Amino acid sequence: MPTINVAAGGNTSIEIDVPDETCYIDGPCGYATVSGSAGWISGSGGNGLVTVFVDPPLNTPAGSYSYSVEVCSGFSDPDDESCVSGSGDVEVESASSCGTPQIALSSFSPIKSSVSRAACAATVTLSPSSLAVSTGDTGLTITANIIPNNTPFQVVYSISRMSPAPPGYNCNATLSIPDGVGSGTVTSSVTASQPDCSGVFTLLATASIYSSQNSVTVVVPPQALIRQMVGEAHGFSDQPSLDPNQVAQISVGVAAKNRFNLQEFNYPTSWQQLQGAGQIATSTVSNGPPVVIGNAVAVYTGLVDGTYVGGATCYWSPTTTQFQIIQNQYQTNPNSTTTPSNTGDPGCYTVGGRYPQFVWKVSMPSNTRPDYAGAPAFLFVRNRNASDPAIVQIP
Amino acid sequence: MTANHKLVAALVGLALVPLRSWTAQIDVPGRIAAARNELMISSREDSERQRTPGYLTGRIGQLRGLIREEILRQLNSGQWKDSTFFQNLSPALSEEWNRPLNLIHKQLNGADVVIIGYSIRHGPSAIPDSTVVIEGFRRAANGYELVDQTGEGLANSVPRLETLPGPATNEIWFLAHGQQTGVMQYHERSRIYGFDGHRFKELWGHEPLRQATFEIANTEVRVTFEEEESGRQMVLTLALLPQGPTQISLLMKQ
Repeated sequence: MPTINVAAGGNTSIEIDVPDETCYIDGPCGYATVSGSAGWISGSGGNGLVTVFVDPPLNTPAGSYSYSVEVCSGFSDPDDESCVSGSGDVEVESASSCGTPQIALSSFSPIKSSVSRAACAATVTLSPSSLAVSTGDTGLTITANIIPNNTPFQVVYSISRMSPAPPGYNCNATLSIPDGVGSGTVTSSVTASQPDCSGVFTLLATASIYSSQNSVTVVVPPQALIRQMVGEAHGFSDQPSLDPNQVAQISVGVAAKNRFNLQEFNYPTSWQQLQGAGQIATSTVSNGPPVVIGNAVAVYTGLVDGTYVGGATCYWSPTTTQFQIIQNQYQTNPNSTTTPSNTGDPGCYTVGGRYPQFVWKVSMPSNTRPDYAGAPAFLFVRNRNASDPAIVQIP
Repeated sequence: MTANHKLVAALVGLALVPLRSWTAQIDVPGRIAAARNELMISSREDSERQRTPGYLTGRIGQLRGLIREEILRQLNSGQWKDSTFFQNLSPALSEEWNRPLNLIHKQLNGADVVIIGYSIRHGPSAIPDSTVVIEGFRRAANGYELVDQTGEGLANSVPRLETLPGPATNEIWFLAHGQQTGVMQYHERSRIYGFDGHRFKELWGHEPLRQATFEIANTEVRVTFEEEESGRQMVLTLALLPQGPTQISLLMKQ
């Protein structure tokens, strides 16, 4: 009988021609039984053909296992029955080694063999480990790297949504990633919908019965946040060298987020709402440009929190002249409680016994607009007590 | 008569004075303050209430009515001057809640007319909305009376009013412009109105302009502003012609 080679965790089958026994009726008859030294060896057949099927589990020790085939004629009438039998080996390879399935034929007379496609033990790793996707993005992919790389697999993805979603939720995005087929490297496209929806997802993949060894975190930031960042400060993502740490875009996103659920801002819960109320800038960008989407993910997921702008909720871009008023007051009297005038500030915290405090973030890059030379791209505003200084600096 | 008797007599005397109109009068600032507070959002219930159709309009209308009562009382007191007008109206109108306070007082076609402009803040307290009130009063036989009102085109801004050298002698032309509220970057809303002593007419208006400044010359208004995207400084020039303010140029600032 032939020796069957298989990898632990894989499976294979062979078909063996066996002799037909003389029967008391015309034509071939008989039945076959397959037995083995392990429970994962099975098979059946008759009338000249036997199929042996082996599927050693992943933890099957490498080694030689025996199987036998017995073919009997007749209709189980002990007086009329005659049987022949043969035996062979199943050679199991360890799970980590997996090659092209082979069958070594023995000299024993059966005669003909065939093999079905073999699967083998595999490791599946996904890359990248995290991915930012705008609801308008196309062409983004996730790659499953499969070892062994010579065996075709179908890669099936499972998606789970982080719950609750981070603040800024407008509606739940839907993530789509079709199954992939291939060997070695299987790449699948990732898309998110609907526009203006968001979410954080964990992605796992399975190839055959093997789960991926790692997961991919997919973040779909709110498109309104991307629109705000582009609307307020696209120059700094267009030319990242002007703002290597992307302080400007991140700051305005955080400042808007600092308003969420505050009574004094009428309990907004999303960037979308703030844009709907006309309180923050917007733009027509409908995808996630490189740099900007990274900034949006940092703000949306809370990687950068509200302290980044000292808890400020409002912001503006002073002109050179307006900034000089603030700069002069701060340099001559940093503890002054007088709110400077004619600064172009948005007028936050000016009614109902409130006092604005201007927050000067010194790491903010300079504005690039023509009449803003030397002024920071943004200053910020937060509430203060009457006795607190009107201007403060933060790193 | 002992001191106690004098005190009792004084209290009885006070009780006999018809106080109703006096107390109603001094209570108006309190009523205005209460109405003003109702317009600010200080709870989720307030937020829900303000979303109810018609609620805000009705409440603002009530507050405008109360403030108008005070304005008319002041105008008809016969003891006011342009320079002290708003001092006497405080705290019914205040810089904190109603800035900027504007007064245009002129003789027009033989009649004494007064235009008063102010804003009413409402909504979220950190970044309130603004309803702009511009009201025209005219002195008639029985005193000043309200003749017309406008300001809708300036909603959510805090405009100051500046008289223009309009070409018509039978109309007051004035420019109303001021910072747009609720937005982060400095923009101004602007309108030019005419007032003939009976009716306001909106003669010109523009979408909010970034970093806008206005310069009034003899027959022109020059508006300098920044283009949103490019940041270029532009100058828009309006000629004050008999047929109305007319844009005659829009050029990049030299």
